[in-house]
Order: sequence, then C-alpha cells, then structure tokens
Amino acid sequence: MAKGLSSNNAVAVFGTAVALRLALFQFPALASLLGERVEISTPVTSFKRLSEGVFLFTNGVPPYDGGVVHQAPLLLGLFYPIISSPLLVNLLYILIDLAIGYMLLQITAIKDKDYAKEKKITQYGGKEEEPGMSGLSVATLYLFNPYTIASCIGRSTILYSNAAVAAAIWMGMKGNKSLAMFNVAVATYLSLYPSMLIIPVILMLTRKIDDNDLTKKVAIRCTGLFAGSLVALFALSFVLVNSWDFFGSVYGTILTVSDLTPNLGLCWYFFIEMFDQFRPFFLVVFQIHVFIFAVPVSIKLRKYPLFVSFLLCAIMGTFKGYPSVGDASLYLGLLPLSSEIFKYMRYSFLVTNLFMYSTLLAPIFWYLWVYVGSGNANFFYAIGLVYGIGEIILMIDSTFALLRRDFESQSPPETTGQDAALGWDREVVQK
Amino acid sequence: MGFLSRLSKAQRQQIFGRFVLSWMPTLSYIMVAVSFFWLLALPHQDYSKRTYVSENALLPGSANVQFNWDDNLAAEAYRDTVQRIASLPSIERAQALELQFAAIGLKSATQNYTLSTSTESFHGVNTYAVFYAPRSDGTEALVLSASWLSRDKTTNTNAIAMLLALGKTFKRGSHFSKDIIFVVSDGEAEGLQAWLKAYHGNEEHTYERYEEPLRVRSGAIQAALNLDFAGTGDYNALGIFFEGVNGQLPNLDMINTINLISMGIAPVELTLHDELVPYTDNMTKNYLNSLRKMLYQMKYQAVGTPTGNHGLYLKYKIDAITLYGIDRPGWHSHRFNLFRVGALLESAVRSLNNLLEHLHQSFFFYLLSDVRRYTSIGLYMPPVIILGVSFIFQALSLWGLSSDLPLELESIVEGDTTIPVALPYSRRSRNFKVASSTMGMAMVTGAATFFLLTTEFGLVGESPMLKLVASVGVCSMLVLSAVSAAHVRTRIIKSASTVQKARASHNDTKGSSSSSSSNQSDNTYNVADQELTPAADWIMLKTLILALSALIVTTLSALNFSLAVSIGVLIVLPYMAFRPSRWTVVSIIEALILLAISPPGLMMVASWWYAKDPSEVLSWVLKEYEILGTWLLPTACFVYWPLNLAAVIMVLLPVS
Repeated sequence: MAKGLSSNNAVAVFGTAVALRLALFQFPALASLLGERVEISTPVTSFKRLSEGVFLFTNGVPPYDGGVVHQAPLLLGLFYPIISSPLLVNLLYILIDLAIGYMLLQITAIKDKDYAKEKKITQYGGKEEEPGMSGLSVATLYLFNPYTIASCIGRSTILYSNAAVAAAIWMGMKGNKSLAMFNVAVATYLSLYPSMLIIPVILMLTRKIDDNDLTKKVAIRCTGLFAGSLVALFALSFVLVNSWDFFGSVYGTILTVSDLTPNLGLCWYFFIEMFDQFRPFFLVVFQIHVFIFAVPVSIKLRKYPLFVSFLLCAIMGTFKGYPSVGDASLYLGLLPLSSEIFKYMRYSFLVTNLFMYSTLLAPIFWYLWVYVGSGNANFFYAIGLVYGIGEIILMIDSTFALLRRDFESQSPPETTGQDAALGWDREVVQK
Repeated sequence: MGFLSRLSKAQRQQIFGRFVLSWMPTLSYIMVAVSFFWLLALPHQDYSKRTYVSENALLPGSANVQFNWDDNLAAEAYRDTVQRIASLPSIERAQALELQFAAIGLKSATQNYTLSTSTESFHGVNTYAVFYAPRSDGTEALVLSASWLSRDKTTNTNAIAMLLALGKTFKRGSHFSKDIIFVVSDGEAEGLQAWLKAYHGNEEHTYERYEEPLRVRSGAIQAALNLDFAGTGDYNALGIFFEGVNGQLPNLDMINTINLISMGIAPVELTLHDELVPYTDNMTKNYLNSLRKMLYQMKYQAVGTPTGNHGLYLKYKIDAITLYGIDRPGWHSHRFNLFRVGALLESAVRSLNNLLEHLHQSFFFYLLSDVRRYTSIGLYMPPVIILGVSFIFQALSLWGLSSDLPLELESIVEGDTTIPVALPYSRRSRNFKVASSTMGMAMVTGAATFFLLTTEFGLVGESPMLKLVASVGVCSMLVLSAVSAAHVRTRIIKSASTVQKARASHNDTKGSSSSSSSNQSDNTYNVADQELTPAADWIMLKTLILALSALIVTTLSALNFSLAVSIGVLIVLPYMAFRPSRWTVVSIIEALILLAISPPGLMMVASWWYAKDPSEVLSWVLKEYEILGTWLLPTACFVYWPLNLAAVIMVLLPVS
C-alpha cells in the first residue's frame, strides 16, 4: 500500500468516491437540503454563512460586522475567486475530501512500516498477530462513510479543518516538523480546538528519538514553529480583511457559544435554559472540559500518538460547542488507523446501533418539533444526548481495547500464569 | 453464594453468558407476546381516559348563538341555489358561487388549478371568500371549508349552503377577532390542496402543476373546520373525521370543543367516523366496538391517507377536523336539520375565535376508542418499543453466538492446577462481507423499484402494473443471483475442505464446538492451531436484518405509530423465527410466506380483501403518493421491501 495510488483497487475506490459525490452534487436541492440540516452545518461551518461573508467581502463591507459570519478570513479569501462558480466550489470540496482519504492511506503506510519493526504479539495458538487494515480499507471507510458524504455534499467548512488535521498527522508521522506544525496551526486557525493536537503530533515527531534532551529540544522547536505559523496566519488575515474584528467573530463565537442554534452537541440547550449569571461559570467548565483531556491522555498513551489524535478528535467532536457529523467523519476516519485494537472492543454492536438510531431520529424529531409542531426542543436534545453517549462509549471502549492490547503485548496469554487467575482483572493485579 | 465465590470471575461471566444466550430467544418471544396483548388491550375501557378541554381560552359553547330561524330560512334558500348550480361545469358554478358570496358582502374570488399525475390529469376551480373581522388586524384567520363532492360521492349541497348562510350570519356580528375564510373546493383532495398551496405562497406554475395565485388573502390560519353534509335532508348524527396525511393528528382540543358543544348548546349525537353503534352494557361488545374504531383510525394512519379534506390542513400546521352529517334512516336518535348544524358551527367558530395562541395544550398523539375516550402516547408507545427490543434481543443472541465471548474460557496450567481465564478477544472473527453486501444490494434494489414505479418512461402501453412487474423482476434477479452465488461458494469451500481433511486424515475431535456452524472451513490447514470457523453467513445476515428491523420499527413509531405497529406486527414472527433449514422444502415454505408479506404480496391481499383489481390498488397508491405525498410508497420501497428481500435471501442461504 505504500505505493499509494498506483494500484487498480485504489483507482477504483477513489474513482467511485468522486463519481458518487459528483452524482450527488447534480441535485442542487439535495445539496441545499443537507446544507441546511443542523446536524451537518453549524453556525461556524455553514456554507450559507460563508457565501454571505464572501459576498460582503466582495462588496467592500466588513464581513465580521453583522454577526453572521464566523469563519476564518483566509477561508473567505480561498472562496473569494471561485464562489461564483458552483462547479469549482463543488470540485474543491470533492478534492479536499479525496485528499483526506489519500492522506489516511499514506498514514497507514507509515504506520505499517513502524509496525513491522515492533515486537510481534503472540496470540492464541502461538500465532503472531496479523497486521491491521490496509491503507486502502482505511481510506475506503473514510470516503464512503455516510457522515463524510453528507458533510461534503452539505458543503460544511469543517472539511478544511479536518483536512488540516489529517495533513498534520501525516506530516507528523513522516517526520516533517515544519509542515506538521504548520498544519496544526492551520487547523487551529480554522476551528481553534485542534490546537490540542500539537501534543500527539509532537509525540509522532519524536517517537524515534531516544535521547531525552533531544526530545525536549524538538518539542520546544515545534512549539515555536506552531506559534510562528499561527502568528503568520493571523497577520495574513489582518492584511486580507484589514481589521482584528475576526478574532471576536471567529474565536469569540467558538469560545462563548454565543450562537445557540440547535445542533447535535450538548451545549446549546444547556445555555438556552441557564440563567445569565451562571453562564460565564458553566462556559468555562464546558470549555475546560474539552481541553482538559489532552495532557493526561497524551501521557498515558504516549506510545500510541495516532490513537491519541483519534481520541482527542473524538473528544472535540463530542464536547465542543458546535459539533456536527463532519467531526464524527474525522474521528471515525482516524479510528481504523488503529485497526489492530478492533477485536478487543466489546461494545461495537451497541455503538453502531446508537449511531444509527441517533442519525435516523435526529431529523425525525427535528421534523416533529419544527414542522409538525407536535414535539418540542426536548425531543431533539434527547437525541443529541443519545449521540453523545454513543460517542463516549466508543471512546471508552476503544481506549479499553488499546490498553488491553498493550497489556497483551507485555504479557502474552500463555505466560501470565498465576496473575491470570482473576480473568479480566489481570491488568489490575499486574500493577 | 458459596458456590459462586469459588469460581473465578471469568467462570461467573461464562455462566452468565450461557444463561443470557440460552434465554434471550425465549425472552424475545415472550416480549412479542406481551406486546401483542398490550396492543389488543389498548381499546379496553380501563386503558383509556375521558377527554377534557385542556386549552382554557376555548370556552366551548359559552357564547350566545345568533344563528336564528331567519338564517335557517336563508340556508334553505341557499340550498336550492346550490342545487341549481351544482350540475354546471366547474368554472361556471365556481363563478356563480363567487357571486353569491359577493352578494353577502364578502370579498370573494376563484382559483384555477391543474394537476397531472403519471396516470390522469385534474382540472378544477375553487371559490373562496373572506370575512374580514371588524376588530382584527387581519393577522389571524379561521377556515370553514367544504368541497363540492361529499365523501358519499354525492353533491355536498347542505355544507355549501351552510357556508353561505354562516357568511351572512357572521357579517352581522362584531365579536370576531380572527378573519374567517370560506373555501369551496373542487375535486376531491387536489382542489383544497391547490388552494392551501397558493395561500401559503407555494404555488407552482409548471405544465403538470399549476395553481393560480390567490387575489384575496388574510392572516395565518389558526384552525379549520371542514364540512361534509351531503344531500338536502336532515341527519341522525354527526361524525368526526380527524386522521390527516401520513397519520398526523389535529390537537385533541378540536374534537373536545365539538364534543362539549354537541352536549350543550347544540345537542346532536356525536360519533367517530361514520359508524353508529347502539349503546350497550355488554363488556365484550363494548370492547369490540372500541377495537373497531381504533382499527379504523390505525388503518388510515398507517396508509397515510386523510379521511377527509381536513387532513390537508395538518400539513401546514393547521389543526382541522371534518364534520360529517350521518343520515341513517331508522336510527333511534333525534334527527336534526340545518338550524342545529348552524348553531353548532357558529358556536364552534366562536370558540376557536377565542384562541389567544395556536392550539398547543392538549394532545397531538392519541388513539381514540370513542369520541369521548382517548389513549395517550404513554400507554400505546410501550408495546412498539417492546417489539423493537424483542428484535434487538434476538439480534443480540445471534451476535453472541457468532463469537466465543464470553462462552469459551482458556485454561492455563500452572503446576498441577488449571486456571480458567477469560479470552481477551473472540477467536472467531465475524464475517460481515456477505451480509453487508447483500443488505446493500437489497437497499439499492429497493431504491430502483421506487425509481421504476414513479418515473414516466414514455413507452407505449406503459402502466403501473407493468412497472410493478419490472420491479418484481429486478428483485427476483437479486434474490436468484445472491442465493446461487452463496450456494456455489459453499460447494467450492466444502470440496476444498474435504480434500484438506483427507490429507490431514486426523480425527479433529476438538473441532468447532458450541454453536450451530459446523467445522467446514477454508482455513483449517493445520489441526494443531485450528481456528474456529466464523459464523455462517445467514447468521450475520439475520443479525443485520433484525437490528435494522428494530431500528425501522422504533424510529418510525415516532413519526407514524400505526404504520410502525403494522410493520412490526407483520414482520416480527417471520423475521425472528425463520432460518435456513436442512430440508429445502421448509426453506421454500418460509420464503413463500415472506413473499406473501412482501409489498406485491400485500397488494394482492389488499385487492382480494376489497374485491378490487390489483392494478387499481397500485394506481391508488401511486396517486396518493403523487398528489398528497403520502409516505406509504417510499416506506415500502426504501425500507420495507429491502428488508423483505434480505429475509428471503437469508432463508435460502446454505445452512453452513
């Protein structure tokens, strides 16, 4: 698979992905329907708002004055030349989606190389563990994930942030410090939360270095590169829109959750119901909650930076203020990168069902609430909670699976002897 | 406890796993039985409560009625007029009616519409008039409507005469805070639909669909009453129809209002639908009557067809019901004439006029077993959920069978003791390739049948029946290819493994033990580190079918309870009980039963039941989809048929 796109299968997969997306873009009604679904486009990723911003920008009106546009200035700059042609816009979306698929394929190739050097885990019957999914399967799972397709056809701008995250992980695995840090900075610039990923990406960059001092040096240099890139991006934005207003409009909206349009997340309903004097406190609690996991998770799972990046993306996609299925498509795309843990997972049936039920029930309850009027906001929020539970169980289960496999790698089943007496609790006993 | 504590945790888990896996199928059948009994118990008196008016602003029947004998005479005069113009062509009678409304002093107009479906084309003219309330700002309105055609297929003479007479009465009053719109629609449902579309600014101007924009308008419609008083005579009772498009229901307070008025200011006998049942003390008879009423409601909800024109308002978030005059000579109750109807309608309109906001207090989800008794969602939802859970349990037990967790334990020999340990993962991998690809193909086939049925190809002799035959052809191709491919594959694997076995020439006593799948496998190359065979394809496919059925039944129940119940009750036993058998005959019988509950099979049953030609049933379904946008056809093609196809394939798959 390291050869990448050369094989026939890869051509078939990527070709089908392009054809499917092109075919779906042929129905403009579908694109606008998906683009208006609250599950797909949120206030900070809506294409409609982006078009509005570009329109204002084109006509010389400061785009961030009206409180409508919450997307980063450089995104406006990117769309400024092509917004008049729907075909070009659609092609850009398809291209970025394919690029993410390709990057996942490349990441798997690098991971496989790493894996080949590791000590093999002995399994039952004295067999060696088989390697995980091929890169092409990983890319296929991403490209044909219904969430990915819906997000792409709905033209949610989360796609660009996702692409930056994928690129950062790819470059991190490849060992290219400056590009990796630049991409983390781009992702941060676009949607703020991916700033957490600087830790797993640094872990990737330093994974082959044994020397502690050198690791520290690399980490410091990387942080510098990250900060430098971010400052450069901000400066470029300032040059583009000629004001610093975008800070409040883009990052202020993300951090203060000021737009309470319903979405699949856990925040909107909470902040609608809350008395104003409690708002700042809970805002801080909610936002800290997103970021607080970054350090402990990275310390505990430092041997598995790819998995850490999956976990952090899942945490972002669950707890951030404006989550959408686009976030789910990213972390569900990153999960198969650790496919060797799949057989240790115990709740796959439950998680799959939770995702399916919430995917079907969210639009149904929205319909009952908004169109028929026989339901109310509680219906939709309840489904948001179910979706959240699904995400959380997925995170817990995959983390458990990873740790279990890690344990197996240290003490293969045949050799554990006395400690094995307690079955599932072997792990606890060992400590 | 003493015994349990001597076991290791893994062993306890194993015992629990065995217990669950062996009892889960039984449990799921018990749950199906519970659900069925619960559903049957719903019409029983003890499960329903008396209705009550929940919205205090309505104050039903508290206003004095002004409809007097003079208005009654006027109504009778209008009745003659309506009778005279009824036989004129659409456009002329619409204009004549427009003049009548104008003569009262209301702003009136007509609206042309054209609607072509794939089989026929409708054209008609609606008449409508607006009474502008003297004290209002024109932001809210109520609608009184009647169509030219009654549900008896006769002229709706009395209803239209009543609209004119009420217009005259209202014109005198100064109490109204909402404008009142009178609509006389042409055709069956399509006339009122055209008017509603145009009123809400959704008019289309294509060749197939044309709705003339409205010239006279008022505010947002709060509620509507649709009148259906056929003929020119008197009536025995008043029937209420309330089921809307796709099973939507109006707020229960609409019915409660009429109910209170009919008991007080304008005494008439009230009933649900057009059935009159004599009062009885007999428990069984009461139960059967309630059951029949509930089934009537559920039938219409499941099919998605409205029982009258009121159903179209519900699509626009307007609560509406149809009042139907039942003329049953020989029935014991007092007959009533237009005078009583006028008083009832005026009182109802005055009551709705009191509304301060859109009706929201009372229930939107209910089943009625009588006009005064309702069953709320809290009571009727559990059986569907139980049904869904029984699907899931069955799926879970198969899911458990397809792995060896937590049933199998690993033994570790430590000195002279053997320690049982739980496996960290299942040694049997689940092979979902065949199952998921079959399911995917079935979904695509379902979408293809929908496309086939609803597209006009412009071929000679094209008819709905022909399209259905083509769809069935596509489906049978899928079934045949999937089944034959699976059989060929198994043959090849079997022959390969026998060769393999002969070569090994060992008695593999260990084999693959517990579950139903036998020991034929393509990767038993080495007996020493033999891997357990993955579960047979049909097990995985059945797991998928059951999980998806649970998903469909439970999610659909939020949208359309009756449709979900019908689907659930129909599929639960076959989908749960059927599995491929070693005797081909049994498998084929199962497949035939599944074919009988496939959409074409059900269509045949329906046509036999109603003694109609199958093609008529099919064109009716298509027409309902094209005109009203009911979900029956999409649900059947996109959801129900794919599951059915997958089930047919499943029972025909090789056993191992």
